[in-house]
Amino acid sequence: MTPYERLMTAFELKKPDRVPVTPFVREWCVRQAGYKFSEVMSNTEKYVYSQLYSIRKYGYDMVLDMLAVHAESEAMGSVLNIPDDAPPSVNVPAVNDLAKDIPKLRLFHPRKDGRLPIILKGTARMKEAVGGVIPVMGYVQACWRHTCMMRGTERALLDMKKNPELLKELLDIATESCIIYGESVVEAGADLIWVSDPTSSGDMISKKAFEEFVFPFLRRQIRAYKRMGTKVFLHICGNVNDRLEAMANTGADAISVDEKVDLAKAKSVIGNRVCIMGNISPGVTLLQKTPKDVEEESRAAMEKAMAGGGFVLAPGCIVPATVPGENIAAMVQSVKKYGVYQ
Amino acid sequence: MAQKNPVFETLAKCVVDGDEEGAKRWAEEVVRSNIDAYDAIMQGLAVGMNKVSELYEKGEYYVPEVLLSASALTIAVDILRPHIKVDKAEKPITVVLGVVEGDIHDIGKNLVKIMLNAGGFKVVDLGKDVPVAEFAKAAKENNAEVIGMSALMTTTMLNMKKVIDSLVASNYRDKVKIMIGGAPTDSGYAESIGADVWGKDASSAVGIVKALIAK
Repeated sequence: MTPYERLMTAFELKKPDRVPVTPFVREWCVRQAGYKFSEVMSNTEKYVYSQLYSIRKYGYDMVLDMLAVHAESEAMGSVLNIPDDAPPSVNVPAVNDLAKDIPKLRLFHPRKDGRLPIILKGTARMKEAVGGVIPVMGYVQACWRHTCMMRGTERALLDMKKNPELLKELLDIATESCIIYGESVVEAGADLIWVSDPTSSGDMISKKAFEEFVFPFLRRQIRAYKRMGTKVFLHICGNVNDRLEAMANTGADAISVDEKVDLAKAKSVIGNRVCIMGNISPGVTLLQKTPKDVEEESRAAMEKAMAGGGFVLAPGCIVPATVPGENIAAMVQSVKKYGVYQ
Repeated sequence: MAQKNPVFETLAKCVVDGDEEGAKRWAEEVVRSNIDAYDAIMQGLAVGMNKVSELYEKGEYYVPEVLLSASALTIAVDILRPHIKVDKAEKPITVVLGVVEGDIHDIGKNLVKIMLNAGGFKVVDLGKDVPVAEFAKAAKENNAEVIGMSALMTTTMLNMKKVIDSLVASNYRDKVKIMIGGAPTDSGYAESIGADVWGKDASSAVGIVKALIAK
């Protein structure tokens, strides 16, 4: 099977030839290719090269267009800080005063505003290079994350208590803009979209708050992508044990979890409805341990969740830039050793 | 020891409930009736915030609830702090706090700051996305006993090591204790980069700093 067939088969809850392996690599590839992060932020060719260079060298199953770090929020007025060799962050949120600033928000044009056009160009370039053989992943923030990046996370969390109605108005706008951007990501050639929502973690907000503020909007966002014919996987960091079913109910094809969720549990609760992705620890195992440890943790993950198909071996979150190449190689090796379906 | 003032319990409850107006009203009441401000913070507000930490630990409170409580606490502390009798406060230990370079996730750090402030420590807050060299600089300038670093991303936690390396390079490492925290970190990581201690969450911060200083 090609990596494309392999991943799509797993996303359709069937058994591929072996477990697909998709390290979430962005700055790691940039480092592998010898660039600094600030260089690729404005240079699509360099970013694309870093992805192609790394996947050819290590042979995992997906290329990632992940340059869109907060790009949707930037295109709506948040000001980013772009460090020399690290991903950007929001410096000044677009929405200061909810009542005054929400009416001023303008939906972006994905082909004109902010860095969105160069990101879309990168997606298209990757599709040209590997399309049909290796799946091309496009990245869109979850609507709640986008809301936090327009408002400031701490303030958005407090708004849940103090200004719930205005917060929902902002969420509505965020959702609409995420759908518009996702449409252009699909049009540019993405085979699947990663919707990432770290701020919906069970370490951050209660299940009740998730159900009230996040779920209705997130479902709208993800279902819109599904109607565009693309595959979607949803990642929420941290302890999400109490909201796994809600995550599956968004309509995503796959749910990606980190090491705070037991893969066997995820498989038993929602594995009949969605593909499960996870959950090698990036900060502990990949960064600090040996290839042998990575192989063992990968083997254990597959033992828990690969049966019957519908499983992808992935890290619990983004892979740090300085993870040793041998550890990514060990992850890839482990699916060939332990992840072959009979 | 004097009987515990019932106002302290009310202040604690205002913090637990995230009742900003109540916290303001009762803190003003403390000032008006000449109740000891330091005792009101330590036996009232800090007790309430500890309860909030317990509730977070138990999964009954989440970050929005904790933030609201922290907000009520801050309002009251700001009212009470100018009224602390100087001789009553112990010689304050100074802690330099910051979120490491590249990382803007400062909620946890802010909670640590609030806890340390309520616990009677002097906090020099460097904010978020703090350049590596700033930690050593601030520690030297403020004669700090402790440096606390936080990161929420697997990608930025690496900068903690850079800060420690910079302290070693300038022969200042043994002048300060270093604590780290943040979701992707653990005690193993703290040890591997040469930090003194790893803190699980904001509620453990006061205990950790006290233990570090006693060493």
